[in-house]
Amino acid sequence: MTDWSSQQLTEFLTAVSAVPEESILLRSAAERAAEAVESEVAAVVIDGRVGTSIGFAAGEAPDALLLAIASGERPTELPGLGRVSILAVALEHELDGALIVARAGADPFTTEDGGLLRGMARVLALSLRMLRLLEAERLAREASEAKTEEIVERQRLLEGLSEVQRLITQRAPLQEVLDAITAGVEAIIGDEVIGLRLIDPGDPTLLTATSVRGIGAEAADRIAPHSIDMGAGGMAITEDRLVVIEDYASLPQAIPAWVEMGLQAAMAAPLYREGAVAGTLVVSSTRAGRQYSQTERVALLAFAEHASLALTDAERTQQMLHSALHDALTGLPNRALFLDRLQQRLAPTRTGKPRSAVLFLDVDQLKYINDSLGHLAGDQVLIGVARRLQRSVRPDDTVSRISGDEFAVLLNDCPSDREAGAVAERVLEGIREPFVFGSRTLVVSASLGVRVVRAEDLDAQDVMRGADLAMYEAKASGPGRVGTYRPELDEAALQRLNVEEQLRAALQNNEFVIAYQPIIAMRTGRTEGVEALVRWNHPDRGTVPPSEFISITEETGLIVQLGAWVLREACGQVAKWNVTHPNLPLQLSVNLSARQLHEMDLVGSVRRILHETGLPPQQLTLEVTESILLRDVAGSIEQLSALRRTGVSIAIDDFGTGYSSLSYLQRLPVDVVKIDRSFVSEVSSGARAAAFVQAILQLCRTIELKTVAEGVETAAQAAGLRKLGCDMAQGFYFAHPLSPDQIEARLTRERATLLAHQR
Amino acid sequence: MVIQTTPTPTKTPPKARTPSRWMGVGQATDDAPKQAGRTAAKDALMGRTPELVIVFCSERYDLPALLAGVRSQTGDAQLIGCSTAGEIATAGASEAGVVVLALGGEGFAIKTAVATGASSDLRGAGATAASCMAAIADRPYRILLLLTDGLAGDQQEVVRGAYSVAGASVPLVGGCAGDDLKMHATHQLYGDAVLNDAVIGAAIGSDSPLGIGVRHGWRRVGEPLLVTRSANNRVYELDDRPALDAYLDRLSAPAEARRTPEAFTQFAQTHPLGLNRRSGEEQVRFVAGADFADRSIGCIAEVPQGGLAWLMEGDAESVLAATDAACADALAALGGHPPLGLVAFDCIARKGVLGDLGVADEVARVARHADGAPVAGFYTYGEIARTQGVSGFHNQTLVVLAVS
Repeated sequence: MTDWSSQQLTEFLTAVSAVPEESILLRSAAERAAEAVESEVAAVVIDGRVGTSIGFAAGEAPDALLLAIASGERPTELPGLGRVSILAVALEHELDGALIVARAGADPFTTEDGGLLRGMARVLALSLRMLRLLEAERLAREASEAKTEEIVERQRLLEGLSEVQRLITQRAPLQEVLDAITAGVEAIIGDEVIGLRLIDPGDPTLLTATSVRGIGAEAADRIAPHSIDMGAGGMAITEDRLVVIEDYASLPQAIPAWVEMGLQAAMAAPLYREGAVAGTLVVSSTRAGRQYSQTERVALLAFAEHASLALTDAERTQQMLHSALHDALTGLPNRALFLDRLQQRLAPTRTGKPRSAVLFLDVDQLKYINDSLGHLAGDQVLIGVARRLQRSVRPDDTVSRISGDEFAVLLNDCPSDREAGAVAERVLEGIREPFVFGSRTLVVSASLGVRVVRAEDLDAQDVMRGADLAMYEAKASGPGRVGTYRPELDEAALQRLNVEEQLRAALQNNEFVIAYQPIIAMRTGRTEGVEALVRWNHPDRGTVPPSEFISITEETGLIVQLGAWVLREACGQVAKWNVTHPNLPLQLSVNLSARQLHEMDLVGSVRRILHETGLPPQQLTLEVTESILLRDVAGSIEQLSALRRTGVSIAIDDFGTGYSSLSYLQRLPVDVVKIDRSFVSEVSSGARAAAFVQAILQLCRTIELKTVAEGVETAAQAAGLRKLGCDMAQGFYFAHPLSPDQIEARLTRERATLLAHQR
Repeated sequence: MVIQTTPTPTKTPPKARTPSRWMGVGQATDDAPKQAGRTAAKDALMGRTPELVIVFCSERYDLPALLAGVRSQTGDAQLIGCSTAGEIATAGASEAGVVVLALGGEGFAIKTAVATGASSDLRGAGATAASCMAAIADRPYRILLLLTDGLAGDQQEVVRGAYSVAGASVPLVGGCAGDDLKMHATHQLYGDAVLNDAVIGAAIGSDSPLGIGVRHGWRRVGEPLLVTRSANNRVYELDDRPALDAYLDRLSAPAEARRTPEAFTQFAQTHPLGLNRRSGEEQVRFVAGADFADRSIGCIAEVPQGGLAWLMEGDAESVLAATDAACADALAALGGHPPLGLVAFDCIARKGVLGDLGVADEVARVARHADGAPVAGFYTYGEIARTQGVSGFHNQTLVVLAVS
């Protein structure tokens, strides 16, 4: 190759090696080749097609001929040129082409031309391969970069979100979470203004700025609440979707303050709380031509979702807290919340501030209402009571429901007992107003205890208990009463607690004994029965009469155990006497308490005891006081009837003191009427009292009920009763309650006397 | 160099001039543009209706007014033209004047086209200017005449663009507009418009031959240098030395030329580079100026890196000898047909060598070759002639178009 050729080749190499694009490369190569060999025509065939050709008029390139030349053909003429000399060099196999030149006229190509062209073809092929390789690499890198960029962006988004998620799961304060969200949005999307707005709780037509970042975020008129249908956020809420606005000023509902600031574009997503729209998350930019990419839209939606999650979670937590501290039925604060508020008023620092008082209220006979009218009615009553309580006190006083039928009220400014008492009376009056439920009218009463907080009070539970005791005392004296706390109540309560403990111990330690009071037949003067009376041999106090402990056993339910024990003991004893004194079967009377009477298994229990002790049922009389019977006539009748079916007899005790009409007697399944001592004590004091007793006795005789007079203490009483025809009597006049031994001795004496008389 | 256009014609005996085919030239140097235009056009037309009017005029004129003056005579006949660095006419060269060339009569099919905004797409402009070729497809002899804004960029690209449309069977001829050596802004005329940054094409189809001659008249000086570093139109290194220094040293340039840009340009005008070509003929590259800071020299067309370049020189004698040769070549291509006229596209660099006397001599020589036929032309910033191969842009060259 000559200097000239190599120079041309060098020029060619320099020219084509710097070309970055294939079509330009081909064209440049063809032109350079034509210039170098001074041909009119040059062409590059590549990948089996004509890549470029020069020398032909526009649109007249003979592609088919050129392809043929590339395959090895050598036509002698070309259109528009006439006779030509043609030189073609194939490119490397994989490029499937050739570099072709053609010169018009008779001047053929030389060997040197051939050498040069071959060199050029090699350079061209090399350059093409390099270019294609670089292009492939570029595409691969672009794809990988795009992927990497995508991954990096997604990573950033995830990181931004994870911080928010952390705060949500930690139940961080809602404001903190929302601020983290706007911070994350600012970092990822990077617009100039970020705003999270929520629907104003006081005015649902307004959106209030809850978390705002960026320029102008401090300007009052820009962060001021705005109407819910304004701005990009308003649009997102109205249309319930992500909105993208790329020309903010042209938006009809654009906010003037932001337009003034030069906002160009905005993107907003709606926020939800428990499924209902609650606000909006908005990003906005002052950059002209700002467009929001798919990635950015996805990011905003992700943050918006998290904001909705946080809002819903906060709402649910609030609700949970609320229900944890509020009564579901009435919506009032519950016991826990009440105690907390009460405790706050007891803090030692509160000296000098107005004193509080606690009212403790118990709805009388709610069980009765529930049983007779149904629980729905009972619930209505409770709700009604709750409302009336709320109306009776000041707005900042606390009304709460403590338990089933108990309410407590915390009066925030109530310095004296008298004032508290006045409020209490007012409250009760309010409750006494009839409740109307549809067609039904109910009058409800309540018992109320008052406890004014003293300076030295430090424990809310103590104060509550004091009010409770006061209420309890009020209830004991009748329904619809107000009781005021006295420190003695605490003592009494404490005392009762002690007794209760002791009683339980007593049962375990066999401190109870039974005394038997003979019941005398009036006609014969003989002991025909005994009434079992329980005594408590207190280790310290000695013998404790029933009046001092029976009521406590009733309240605590201990009576059931005690009663069963008494029955068993007494039945067992009388059964023994049946053996030792077979001719004088004694009638055993055992008292039944109210609780026992309503015990489900009473009949079964009695039957078992009779069976185990071997006492015939006919020898057992169960005594129930008139007042207990009257509390629940229907239930009593049922239970007593069932008992009678076992063979035992029923006696109605303390007859005359209850409020029954005499006609009841006919209905009640009783066999014996025990006339209360109050009548007996009068029987000898005047004609009038005697007339009463006489009437009862006559009545009982008429309906074939046996009569027993209680508490006979004098001979005159006894005489009077005998004269009036009373069947039996018991009392100190005849005998005190005796021990079993003493009864035995008495029976033995009587038998002896009887035998003596019979001889 | 023998130029052939299209199918080789058989030699025919000299023919008489066909009175129905004509070429007319008018020249004026009036100060008043409209007057000058009207006068030159009137003289060119001599009452005839032209197929094509070509206007070469000085930048000193209010061109719209001048054009209006010309058109007052030519009507709406196809008109092209450009500003110059001096005008040539039968009577002699002028500066600050206007020459109007008109072609008409039977057997001419002429179509013009224009591309504006050439600087942003030189290749595209060339292609657009060549688009008028399609209208004259059926004539036996065809050429494409181009007038370009030489200051718009690398004219080789314009030529390539025109070539891509015209193809190898159409010779290209033409020149780059001048602006009286101000090198500031040239103008092109098209119809009734005065344009800038434009490329104008005129497709000339003729039943009678057209001939083109291309000669430059520069001699090689010494051994060639290797263009070790160049980019686009600038040469940075020759033989691994800073180009400017290599150039000045090899040519033993005077001290003045080494110091001031104007003096350098003056010196460089007569010392072009010659690029090596296959046939041994150089492709001449005008050295337009130098950058004294980075020691580079600038041409107005590409000097390929890795190529060989000759330093060249010339004088009035060599230039005039080239003039004769170019005219002879163009006339020889007419195949015996007498010329209707000669059109000369002459590089200003050659004018610079000739001086006023030399210029007058040159024009006289051209007129002599024309043998009474009119002569028109202008001093250009670059010449266009492609008759073989693909290259078509020349510097410091004389291109002669002979019309028969």
